[in-house]
Amino acid sequence: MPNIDGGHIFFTLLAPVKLGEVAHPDGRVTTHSHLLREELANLPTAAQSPVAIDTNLQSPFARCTRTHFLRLFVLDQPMFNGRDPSNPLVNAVKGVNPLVHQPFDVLSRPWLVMSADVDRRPAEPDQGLASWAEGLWTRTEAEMRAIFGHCHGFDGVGSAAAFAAYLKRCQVETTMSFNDYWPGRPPLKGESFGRIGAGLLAVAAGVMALMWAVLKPASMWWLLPLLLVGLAAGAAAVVWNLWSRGRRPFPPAPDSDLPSVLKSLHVQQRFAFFAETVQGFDPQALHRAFGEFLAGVRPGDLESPTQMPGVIRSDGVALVEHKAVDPKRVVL
Amino acid sequence: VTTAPIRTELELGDLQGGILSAYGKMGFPKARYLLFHVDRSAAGRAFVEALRPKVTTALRWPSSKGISTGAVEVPRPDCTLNLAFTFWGLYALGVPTRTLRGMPDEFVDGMALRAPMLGDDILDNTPANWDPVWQPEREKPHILVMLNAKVDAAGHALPALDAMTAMVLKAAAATDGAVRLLEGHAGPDPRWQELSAIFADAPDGTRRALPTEHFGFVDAIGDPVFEGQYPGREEDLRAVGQGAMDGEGQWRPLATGEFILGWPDEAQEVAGAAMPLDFSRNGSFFAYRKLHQHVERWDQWVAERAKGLAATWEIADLAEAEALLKAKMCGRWPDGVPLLLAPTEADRQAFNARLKPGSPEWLAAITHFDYCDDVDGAKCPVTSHMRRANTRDMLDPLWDQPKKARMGSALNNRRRILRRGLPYGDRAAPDHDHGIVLLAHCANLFRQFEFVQQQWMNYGLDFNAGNDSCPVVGAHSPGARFVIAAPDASKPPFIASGLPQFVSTRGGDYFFAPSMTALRMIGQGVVDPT
Repeated sequence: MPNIDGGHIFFTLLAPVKLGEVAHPDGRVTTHSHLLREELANLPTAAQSPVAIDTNLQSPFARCTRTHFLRLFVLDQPMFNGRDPSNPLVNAVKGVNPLVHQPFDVLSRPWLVMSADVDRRPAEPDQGLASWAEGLWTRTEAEMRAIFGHCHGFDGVGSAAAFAAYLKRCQVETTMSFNDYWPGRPPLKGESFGRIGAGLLAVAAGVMALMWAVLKPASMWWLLPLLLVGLAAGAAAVVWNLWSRGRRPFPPAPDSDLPSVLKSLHVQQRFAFFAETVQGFDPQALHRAFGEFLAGVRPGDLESPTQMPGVIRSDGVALVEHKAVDPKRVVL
Repeated sequence: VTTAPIRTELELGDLQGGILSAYGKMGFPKARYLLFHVDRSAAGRAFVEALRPKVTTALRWPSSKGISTGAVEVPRPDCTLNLAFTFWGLYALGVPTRTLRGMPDEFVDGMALRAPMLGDDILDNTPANWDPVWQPEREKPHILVMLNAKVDAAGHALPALDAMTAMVLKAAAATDGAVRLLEGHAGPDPRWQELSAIFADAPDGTRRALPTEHFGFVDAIGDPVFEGQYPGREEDLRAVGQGAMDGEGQWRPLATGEFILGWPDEAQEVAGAAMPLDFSRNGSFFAYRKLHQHVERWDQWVAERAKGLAATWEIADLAEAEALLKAKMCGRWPDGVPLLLAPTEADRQAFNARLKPGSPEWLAAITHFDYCDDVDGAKCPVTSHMRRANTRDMLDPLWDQPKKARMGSALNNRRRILRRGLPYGDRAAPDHDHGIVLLAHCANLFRQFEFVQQQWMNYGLDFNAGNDSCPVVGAHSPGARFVIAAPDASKPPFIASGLPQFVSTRGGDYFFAPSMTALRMIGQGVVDPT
């Protein structure tokens, strides 16, 4: 359902990892899943923690200006939660032998999972999934090759278009989307039991009236079956209405695309300093300073100046130095 | 047949003293904390056994407040004694592996390893600045012995403090060096941490303990109230303003299990704890934080920024602007009157004229308020120390809904801590060792103490304040600022910029204060987790 929600594409991909032995660059013979995990572990994260900042490496996905969030991991097996719960009395009646193992499914191989939160493009036929995938390839081809090279069906992918087709082929439905860009409560209109009931009765009455007019029954005894048909139609209309409303995507929050979010973070940080600086200014000086602020920060210009993706601040303040604490681990 | 639930009655004789209420408030304004390291389990247990008969419990002493004390009266001692252990202390004392395995991760880690979470890896909070005894390269502290003493008319600790100290040292000496006192505390005596309330000369020539800390605020006003903490009606009265609040402003005591292990907590369950249950039950975890207060820096910065505040808000009297700035930072005026009830100096004076400061009515009134009517912080800034430490109903996502639909303090109830401890040092003394030793008691250090420290003291997102940290005790990285909302439409907001570090960590660790039952099991070496 929510592949598209809140103005974003919530992309989920499951790509089968190759089976079989493979040579590690250091000479060992190992598995594709091992190499893939190593590849993922060595992928730099965004500069959002002291450790990540100290490495001076940046996440490859910070090169993409439509990607809010991207996560990759290897799924070996779903958790087996034990036997399906059942009632021992029912089992006894049905003759279920609890000593006989219940069958359960396992995954045939490890799978690579990618989940991403991406800016949608409503004008494009697929809402912008293909153009995003092509952009991802253009900007991170080396990393994508290193990762997906361990996945089944990827061999032969050599262009942005082919990569987009591969991602599309591996896409599964996203069942839980999440984003947090609504500053207040989104303008959602709920349904009340009263309104639902009124709708049901209105449809029921309409259907009854129509059928009465068409069939022109001779006896009042027909009223009861027609009422039942009407109510059934009303109930169906209610279910259809709620179902189709529920399927509707969550409304996009205003300015929740990545360039706008980054720009607003930048403006916010700069404005905080501006407000600090101009305290006590007389109206003329304040007016002049605000003009300079607008000229410098250009709030309407999403291109620049703005906050680069993958960093935690852009107000020019030096990040505080974090000192690693390395206590004595031999304790007694 | 009555259907009313049976009230929680704690077995006070099984709880250690100093948890349900602070010794400082009970007439013990001096304290001495000693740390020991145990080399051999049997010797460590003998040390615990030697001290165990002297341990002060939570049993009520005869008091002037007329609270009943039970059939057998316990005399109020001149000096109290309490014990607490680090994880490695319990390990060294031979507590079984299965019991140790049930201990929470953060307690096993200890405070130094949690530095990145607590903000102890930045600025001058880092362990390199800690008192030598707490430095993580040194031998780990195992046993904390806490002595609290009464004072004479001149403000000196009664001789019982030295006598009790000698008794403790003698018990350690009897182990032939297998239980060693760890030295290296900053302050007057490197052998232990000396603590003292701040004293002032009274008109009658005596010296009296003040309830203030080194920045001049009356401290320890807000403190959670939970089931079983106070007898009967006292509990219901105190719960107003200090317990949990529903959306309609009705107060109740918090669940006991938020502070004392083995009791139902605010999630309506008895949380898992180290087994056997009677090892954990009636015990409590606490974070020992030695917090230095940079008083000169505080005075200078407040004086400087008060000029800006006076100019911005057109306050003629600079002293009044200073008091107002301090009040905005803390959330209370230095005398304890909350900004919510008295947003201006004139209001504060009127408040104190209406209710006599220090009277029971005044004490009840200064904690009885909520934040839903001051959402934008016009009276009390949303990032002030008090609003961060105990958010009351401030985080209610449905604050603008009709009262029936609100959530009250639901998002706050699982983040409360009992604040114990005392100030230390003299701000005029040349050793520059002065501040507060905070003992933050709770059932779950990770969920309660660490969350409050990381998310509410050192970060501002929950208050829509970005990276802004607590103006008083938060970590003040470059660019730190404190935003004071405009009190009304006629005045602009005031941004107090360039916050220096006012409070810095100087040491500490995570401790477990066991019940008397558990103390017996530890001392006798009979903890049986099976």
